[in-house]
This record gives sequence, C-alpha cells and structure tokens, in this order.
Amino acid sequence: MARKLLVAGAFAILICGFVALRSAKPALAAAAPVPAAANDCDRACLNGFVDKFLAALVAHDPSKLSHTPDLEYSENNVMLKPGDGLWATADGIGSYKIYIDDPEAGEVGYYGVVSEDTHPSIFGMRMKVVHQKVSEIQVVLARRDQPSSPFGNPDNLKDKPIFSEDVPADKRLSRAKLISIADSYFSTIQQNSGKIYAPFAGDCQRVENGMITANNPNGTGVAKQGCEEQLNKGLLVFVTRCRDRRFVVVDQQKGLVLVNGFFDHAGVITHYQLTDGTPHTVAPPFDRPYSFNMFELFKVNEDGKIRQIEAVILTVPYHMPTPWPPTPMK
Amino acid sequence: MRTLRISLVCAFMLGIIAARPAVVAQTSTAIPQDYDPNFNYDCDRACLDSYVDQYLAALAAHDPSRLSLARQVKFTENGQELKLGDGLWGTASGIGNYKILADDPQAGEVMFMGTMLENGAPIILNLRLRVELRRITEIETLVARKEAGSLARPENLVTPNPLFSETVPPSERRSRQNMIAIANSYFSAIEKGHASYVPFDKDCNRIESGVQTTNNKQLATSPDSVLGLGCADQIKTRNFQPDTLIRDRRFAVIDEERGLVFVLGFFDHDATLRSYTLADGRTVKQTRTAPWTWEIAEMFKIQDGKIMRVEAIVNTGPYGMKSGW
Repeated sequence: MARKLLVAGAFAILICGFVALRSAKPALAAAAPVPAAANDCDRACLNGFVDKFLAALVAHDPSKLSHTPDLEYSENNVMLKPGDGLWATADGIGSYKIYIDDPEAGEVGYYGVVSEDTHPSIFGMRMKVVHQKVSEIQVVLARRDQPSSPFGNPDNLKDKPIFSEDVPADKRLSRAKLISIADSYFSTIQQNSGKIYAPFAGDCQRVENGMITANNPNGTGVAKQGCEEQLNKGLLVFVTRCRDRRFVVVDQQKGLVLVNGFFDHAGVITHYQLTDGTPHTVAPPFDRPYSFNMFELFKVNEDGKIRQIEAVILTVPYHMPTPWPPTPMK
Repeated sequence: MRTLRISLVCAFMLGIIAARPAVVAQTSTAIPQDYDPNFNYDCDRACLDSYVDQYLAALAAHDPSRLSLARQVKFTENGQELKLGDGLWGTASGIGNYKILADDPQAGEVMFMGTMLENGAPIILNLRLRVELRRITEIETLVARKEAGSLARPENLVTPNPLFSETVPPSERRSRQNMIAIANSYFSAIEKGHASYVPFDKDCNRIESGVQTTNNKQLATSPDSVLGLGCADQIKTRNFQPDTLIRDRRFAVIDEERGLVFVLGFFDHDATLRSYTLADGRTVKQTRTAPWTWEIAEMFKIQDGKIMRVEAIVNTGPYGMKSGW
C-alpha cells in the first residue's frame, strides 16, 4: 500500500514538477529588454484582453479580438491558425478564474475552465499585448476525456484567494528574484537527488490538474506530505529534464510567477532507492520515454517562500520542443 | 625478361585496382571513412535490409556507436527530434518476431514495421532509414505503446501476412507514380467519403496498431460500428466524416518489386462535426468533443493495381502536430 501511495505521490509531484529549463545560462544569454511599447496596458487592461479573448473563443470568431495581423497562437504546444482547434469547439467558460498580470512586459496569464460540447477542461494560457493589440496567445488544455491529461478534474477547482492577494508595496520581490525562486523548484525536481534548492513555505500546497497533490489535508500518503517533504526523499529521480523553462508572466504585485515548460522522463530508471533507503519501482507511464508540457503558477510570499503551486499539465510526445522562443531570466 | 616482369606486375596491380570495387562491395563493413570514388556504394535490397538489422541490434544494445552513420544524422521518434541514444534507445530491451520490410534501392530508403520489447513490454516500431553512400543519414521512427488511450495491441502481431514479402510478378507491377496515386486515393477517399475511385481488392483487409479493423465481426459490437465491413464498404458508409484533413502525406518508401508503398502522415480531426449523416440516412453523434490528431505510418500492398492489404501504426498526438521532416 505504501508503495502504491508513493507511486501515486510520485506521479503527482511529477506532474506538478514538469516544467523545464536546461540551465540558467542559455536563458540568460537569450535575455532581451522588455519593449517599452508594451507598457501601455495596465492590469485592468490586460485582464480585459483575456476576457475579450475568451468571448471571441466561445464566439468562434478571432476577429472579435483586437490582435496584430500576425497573431501567433499555440494550442497544446502546436502553432495553429487562430480559428482552428479550440476556437472552433469552445462553447463555455467556467467561473474559476485566476489572472496573473505583468504590465511591465505586456503579458497576462490566466487559469480557468473551458468547455467543448459541454465537456469542461482545465485551461491555462498566457497572452502578450503590444500597443493595445494581442500579438501572442499560448494555450494549454488538460482535457478529461483524453489520455493526454493524467488527472484533470475541473470540478475540483475552487477559488484560492491567495492568488489575488497583494504583497505590500515595500515588500515586493524583484522580477529576477521571483524567477530565480520558480526556477529553483524545477532544479529541485530535475533528477531529484533529495537536495532542496527551492525555498518552500511550511504550508506550501500544490494543485495539479485540479487535484491537491501536496499538503492535501484530506489526502493520504505522499499527497498528504508537504512540498519539501516529498522532494527531499528523491522521489522524482526519474524526471530526466525540466526543460525549456520559460518564465512567461511575472506579477510582482501579487508575488506570482507563471512558467511554461516540459518534464522529460527518459524511462531509463525503473528501480531506485529513496534517500532513506526505501526501494522504489517506477510505475507506468514513467518507465518509458514520456513528456509533460505545462503551465505552472507559483505564489511566493513576501519572505521569498513558495506558498502555493498550481499546474495545468498535458502529455506530449517525448521531448517535444516548444514552438516559442526562450524568455529573459530578469 | 625485365619488360615482361614489369608488365606482369603492372597487370597484377591493375587487376587489383580493377577488382577493388567488387571486393569492397562484398565486404560492406569496410566503408571508407571519406568518399572514395573507387568504392562501390550501391546498396541493393539485401544491403538495405542489413541496415535495418544493424539498427535493431544496436537499439536493443542501447549502443548507437554500432551504426554506420553519416557525419550528420537526423533522428526523430514520434515526430520529435532526439539525440541518438535517447528515447527508445534507452528503453528497448529486445527485438520482436514480427517484421515487415519494404526496400526502395532507387531512393536509398528502407522501411521496417514490426515489434520490439521495451523494458520487457511489447511495442510496435515503424522505422525509416535513409542510406546514402553506405551511411545512415536519416532515421525516422514511430513507436506505438500499449498504454492509456492507445489503440496499440502489439501482442496481436505474431506473423505478418505472407503477401507483404511476396514478389509481385513483373507483369502485375505498377510504376512508382501509379503506386503513389493508388495509395493517395485511399486517403482522399477517406477525406472525401467517396470510395469509388479506390482500387480495393475484394479481399482487402486492414490492420491498425495490431488490431484488424476491417471484416472484424467480433469488434463490431455496436450498430454504428463499421469494423465488420470490408475496406471499400467502410468508406461507402460515409462513417469517416470526422477525419477532417489527412495531412502531410509523404510517400516515403516505394517497393516496386513487392508492391509496397509506405506512407507517413497525419489524420486531423477538428471535432467541429457534432453529428453527421451516413449514406443510409442514419445520424451518428460524434462522441469525441475536442480536436485531436493521429500520427500514422500506413503501408499498402498493391498487386495488379489493386490494394490487397493495408497495415498501419496509429498514434494519438496533439492536434496539428508536425512530423519533424
């Protein structure tokens, strides 16, 4: 039973863990200044663009969204023409909503629920707004009725006020610091040795595709354990790479960082020992080449500790690259 | 006397030079490091097949260094570019018994569809190799695993239909272009819902990822199922309307001698059709509500201009995904 729970927990963490970055260096090298032109849209303006996008999506009509002529739209890690994919099938937006605003970069993130022929899916996105026009939209959907979403239960998503609470103005962390903290989470998970790089708050909780997979008061086994406790045992040693970590939205006012990336599992580790010596067997599907693409949202307290993590996770072909360029680390 | 000796030596040396290409060609392991105009680089069917054997053995040994590789090699698995050694190279644990080969010496390409073991579990592998100057330049693989949501049933693949390895009599062979047109007509027929111009043999059958999906009465459990029908009759029902677009069709290997065409491509389903009307007037509700794509490798046996057999690997992938080629 303990092993089963361990496996379930591993799956959970894995899922949550899957964002990726090879190392800080390549991303630093790719750093680019935030275009000044992007700064003409404040938080309310950015949120308004999200709402307009959702309305246009349900109306199956990209022309209802003010966008640049060369609007780039990706859905589940594939570039599509605006109008294709979810644009043609979405028929409702749920009440669950999290907004992440980054007026400095002209970026906004959003988590919610969208339905297709009344079937709800967990929905994560980010959008870039330049000169009051949307130039980029990136959507990740975890659909319940497809094997691509390992968990996926939209009904379990309940409002979490912590994501909309402001950090006092004099205690806000720098963009670079927030990114570094989010990055440390993935460095902890990648080839998880048990060494903890990430500053976790004691009450840190994680939700993945609608399931509470760390610090779950009603959970059992691994899901009941805290964020740090799960990882200091080296449970996720079989996560080969947390790859192409892209820090897409940094919301200093709320202490939020939205990351897009991948978890690669090469499938070569099938048996291992936890740091406390407990033998462990890797359960399917992690015993074969297998990747996740995800959005992962972090709430960082004013003391620099990770308090809440929420992920939208999608299964993709092993080692599928992102169609998007790297993001700055600052 | 001295002149005679010199002549003999010269003749002997010329003989060596003249004989060299033939000698080297027989020992395919001695591929020159750099291009050698005197080397015979021809790679016939047996030669191409030997590269498949070499690949499968190296794969099972987790050792890409056993391959005869060009300096620049491109390798993809399920549409994603990987380093040699990654992906199935890390998890393959044995070579299966099921093996279908198609050789295209004219193009220097060979295709393998068969079974392997991965960490002890059976899987289906489709492999395309391109061999240039006796070195592998392209490796394209599709791996179908039996897992949640997968159609694959690798355990069903025991013995390939003997038709696939039979030589088509020269009088019943078709040109490369004609073979491509015949294979292409199959996809166009599915896309458009018209079977009339596809030259199916009356006994045509299709296997997809190890499952016989034509003339299979056992699987045809619901009244709307077409699995009990033959290749042509299935299309005539107009049951394939949710297949919106059959995209990026690549006629990758043409084996004129065996009458085989190997096609790689994608079936996109945009899921906008919520219900549709069949040829007999019945209305069918579409059960899948979200867009999805199948990445496919599909092989056709063509004899006397007729499609005798179809065998395919079908993998579900993100909607609109690309092949990497």
